[in-house]
Amino acid sequence: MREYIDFYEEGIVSSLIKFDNVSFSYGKNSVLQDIDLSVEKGEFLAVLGYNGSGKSTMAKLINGILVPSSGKVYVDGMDTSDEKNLSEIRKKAGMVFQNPDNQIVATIVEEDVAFAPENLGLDPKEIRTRVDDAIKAVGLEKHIKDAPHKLSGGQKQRVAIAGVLAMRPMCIILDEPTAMLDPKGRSLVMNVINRLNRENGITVVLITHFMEEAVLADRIIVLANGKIAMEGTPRTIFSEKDKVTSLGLEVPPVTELAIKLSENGIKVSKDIIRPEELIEAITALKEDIH
Amino acid sequence: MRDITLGQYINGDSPIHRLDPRVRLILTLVYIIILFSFKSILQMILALVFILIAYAIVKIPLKMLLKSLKPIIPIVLFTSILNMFFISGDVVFSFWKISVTKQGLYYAALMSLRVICLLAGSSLLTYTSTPIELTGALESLFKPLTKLGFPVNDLAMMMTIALRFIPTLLEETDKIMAAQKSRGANLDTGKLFERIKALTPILIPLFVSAFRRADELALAMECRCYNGGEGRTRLNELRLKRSDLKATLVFCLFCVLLVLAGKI
Repeated sequence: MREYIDFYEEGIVSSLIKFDNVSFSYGKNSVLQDIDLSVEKGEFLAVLGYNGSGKSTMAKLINGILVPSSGKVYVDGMDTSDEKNLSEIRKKAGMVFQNPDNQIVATIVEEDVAFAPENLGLDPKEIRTRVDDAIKAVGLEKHIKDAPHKLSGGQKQRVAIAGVLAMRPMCIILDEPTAMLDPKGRSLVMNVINRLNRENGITVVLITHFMEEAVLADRIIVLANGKIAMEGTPRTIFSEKDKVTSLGLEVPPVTELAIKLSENGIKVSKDIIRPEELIEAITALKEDIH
Repeated sequence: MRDITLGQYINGDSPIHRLDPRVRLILTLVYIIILFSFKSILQMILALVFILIAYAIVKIPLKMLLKSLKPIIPIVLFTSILNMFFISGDVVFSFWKISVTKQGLYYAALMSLRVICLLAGSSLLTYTSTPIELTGALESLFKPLTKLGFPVNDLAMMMTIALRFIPTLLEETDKIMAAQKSRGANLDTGKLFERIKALTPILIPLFVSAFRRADELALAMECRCYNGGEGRTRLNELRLKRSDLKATLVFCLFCVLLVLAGKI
């Protein structure tokens, strides 16, 4: 039987990340079952699901920290279960974790960002360019010489993102990067993630439990009981409020509001997912009245 | 968040601060060896003058140096007195059964000067170098040992991580202490033994969290392509500059001066 990898090499398929009938279990505990998923180059994918639905496991499967119990995961055509591919895969798919404190290695911001390129054995000049570019991309130029413990949570998380960017990855996987941040830090980090995707064309896989963040994605998958329970654009997902709620999640606050408004006879669409859309809808209503 | 400075590094931009940390480290070591190999008081005075000039260049106030000398005053006094009373030679004056000799006074002065220079010299190193600079210097100096299978890079990485996590863990200790106090733990009063016992509910969560952090950090490091020290390069590679050469030359001149002083 011809496998995905053959088609990839022949250019028939080109997904950056491909889950091919992947299952994963810790001992007897099955975490993921028969996952089929492909993420295209430049895509922004959000992964939602209640705690313990297998979100983090999925992230760890992408860059070979975990290897599927059955099935295959491919990154840019490389099989993650092959040891030889690991360093190349990790260079292509960078990973950012929840707690910024536990992923910063060095005592100075620029040296931490330099950690990955140093591991790759690059020339000091090349490292310098990459470090400067990465720090600029996350907007921390002013803090280049600071000690990480003096930065705020949001700044630390941006250092962590810069540390991954310095590998010049094709894809960044973020495992609940904003869970420990205050609202301001969260919005700054989300701005950076969004910009990296839209302007630099970096593929983003964002694991989150904030619906407002998932709305920014091109596509959402919802995990439940180790399976993909829903898949679609943010609008199609959140228009099915009952199903989303039954999977242990909520729709974004603005969608909730739009639904309540329309139930109370105000004619706004129920599939509004962004605040701007609701404003527009209400302004349009106001003009109708006049 | 508290502002922790490790060691006693004083931020500055003096010529000595700008020296390659390896040069600073080696010159300090040589200075200490010199202190113990020269035996005339004139040489010790020269050594003291030399280190004071260095302090003037770094612009560290003399007060600070005196403060760091404070803890060793008892040692200096103790050795001086011993030397004064127990070295036999030409008696200068005697009191009751004790007599003070010329040689005794000489050695007392020599020893005191030596200890003062020793402390001033090593403090100058820690005043002008961050712990991370010293780690880098040691890593680079011990690099040849890698060939013998000694894990120099790994040790340096461990040092760096330890330094990186000291503030984080201190902060965590604060939080745990506050949490335990708010639940009625009594940490500040009681007998010594009771107070040590009261530390258990702080140390256990601290250890657990340190292990959890270590686990996550290892994962994050692996994700950033770390697989041991081999083949790593550095962003800021230590490179000897002209100023390092100049400083070494000045130091050599000082050594020559000392040797000459010994001949007088």
